[in-house]
Parts: sequence; C-alpha cells; structure tokens
Amino acid sequence: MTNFFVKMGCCCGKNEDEDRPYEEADERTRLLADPVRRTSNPVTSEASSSLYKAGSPLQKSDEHQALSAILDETVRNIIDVSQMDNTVSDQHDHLDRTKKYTERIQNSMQAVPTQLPCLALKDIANVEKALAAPSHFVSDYSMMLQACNACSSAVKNISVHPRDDLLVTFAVRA
Amino acid sequence: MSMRKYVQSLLDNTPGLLAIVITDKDGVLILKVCSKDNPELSQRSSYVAPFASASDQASKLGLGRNQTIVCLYDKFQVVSMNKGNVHMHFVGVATGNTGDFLTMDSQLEPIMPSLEELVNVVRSQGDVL
Repeated sequence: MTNFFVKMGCCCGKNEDEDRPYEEADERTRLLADPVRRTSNPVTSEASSSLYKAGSPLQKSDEHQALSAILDETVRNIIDVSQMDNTVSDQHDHLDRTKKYTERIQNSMQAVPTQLPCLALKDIANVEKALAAPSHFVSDYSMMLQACNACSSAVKNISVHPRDDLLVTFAVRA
Repeated sequence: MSMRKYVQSLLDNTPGLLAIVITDKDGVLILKVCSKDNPELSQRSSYVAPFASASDQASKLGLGRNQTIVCLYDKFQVVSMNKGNVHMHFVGVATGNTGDFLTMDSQLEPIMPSLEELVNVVRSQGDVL
C-alpha cells in the first residue's frame, strides 16, 4: 500500500523518490511535499521527452498545462490524512465567523414550523365534537352487516373440485 | 418558534440524544443545543472540524461521496452528516437508537434553507472583507 502511494506521489515528477527506501515514508510523510516545485520539473517518460525535443515553446506550455492538470487531479485524488490538521489553523477567522453566526441566529425571525413532523398520533382540538357527531343511519349499518355476511358466506362456500389425479407419479427410474 | 427552540424541541423529543451541533463545512459553530449529560469535548472545534476533512478523504475511496460518519465510543455515539455547506453532528448515549439519529436530518429539513442562506451570507461577507 505504501509502495502504491509513493508511486502515486511521484508519477508526474522525477523518479527521485524511487531512490529513497520505502521505510522512510511513514503515515506522517507528506506525499506531495512541494507540488509547485514538482510542476517545474521535466518529465522523464519517453513520450514526453520526444515531445520536448521536437516541440516549440507553445507546445511546451501546453505540455506544462497538461502536466499541471494531471498533477492537480492526482493531488485531489490522494487520500492524505495529514491535511486534517489544517482545518483549525486560522483561529481568528473561526471566532469571527462563530460570532457572526450567533448574532444572525439570534436576530433571525425566520418562520420555523411550530409543530414537529413525523408524529404518528396527533392531538385533535375539540374532541367532544368528534365524539358527539351523529352516528351512521341504521339502514346503512344493516346494509354493511348484510354485505359482510354475504362476503363471509361466499368465502366459506369456495370449494375446489379436482378433475385430475391428486397424486402424479413421475417417471423415476429405480 | 425560533430556530434554536425548534432544534431544542427536537433534542427533547428524541430519547438518548444529548446534543445537536450544526456547523459550516469548516467546522465553525452555527448552532448548538445540548442536555446536561452531553460530553463537552464532542462540541469543541478540535473534534468537530476534522469531520469535513475526514468526509472529503473518505469520498476518495471509490464508493462515491461520503455523507454520514457514525462513531461509537464507550459511553457515547456521534453521528455526523455532511449536507454540503452545512454539517450536522448528533451526540447520543452509546445505547441510543442510531437509526433514529440517522433520520434526524429529515426533521431538520425545515430549517435547512435558512441555515444554508446564513452560511452563504457570512461567507460572502468574509470574501468581501
């Protein structure tokens, strides 16, 4: 794994890291110590060197931009946990922003829903109204009862008449 | 109801939750509500700020953008969510319902537009200065 990251770190610069023993690169070693310096280094691959030999200054600048883009992309993709120390570097800026956030939160009069979402059971106002509501008509009730009885008897009367043999013997060789 | 009261009511109505910390993506504190049993260390900048970097680095592992990191400790658990410019941290007891904490973002959805606007305004002021 270390071998892989060391290779990744020097893919666009000189192969100077290959001379360094891998034991020197521990988890605290910066993979790209100085990206700016590396961008100015020539490339040692054969394809690139042939372009340099035959190229004009314009081609060189294009090549340089392309290499810079590759290097930026590589830097973005490298997983570098040492970057985590930089997050609290500017303490003054942190305090300033915290103060601004606090002031604005206190002064904000934005409308926020007064009732919490995701309540399975909700309280209703005027419970007595719901309880004192007129009941269903007797005729409706008897109709529902008849329909339920009819459905129940229909389910009970469902029967299956087998027309073929219930047991089928497959051709199993003994 | 103010934003702080709304978040406080969410905290009060969620069993096992000890603190809700809302920061911007640099770990700068925007809003914090907590109960008396919460671990104070989990709300410090030194604990909250590295989440942004950790989430960014975890996004490079090849499984897509990292959105949530759950940390379980002996006595506490911390669910940290990456919502772009706004990050949320929910600190709860170790035996708390982690699945419940993971749905807290949907309950904070009503105040998210206000929080994002707040972050953008403060950042634009910082750019001007």
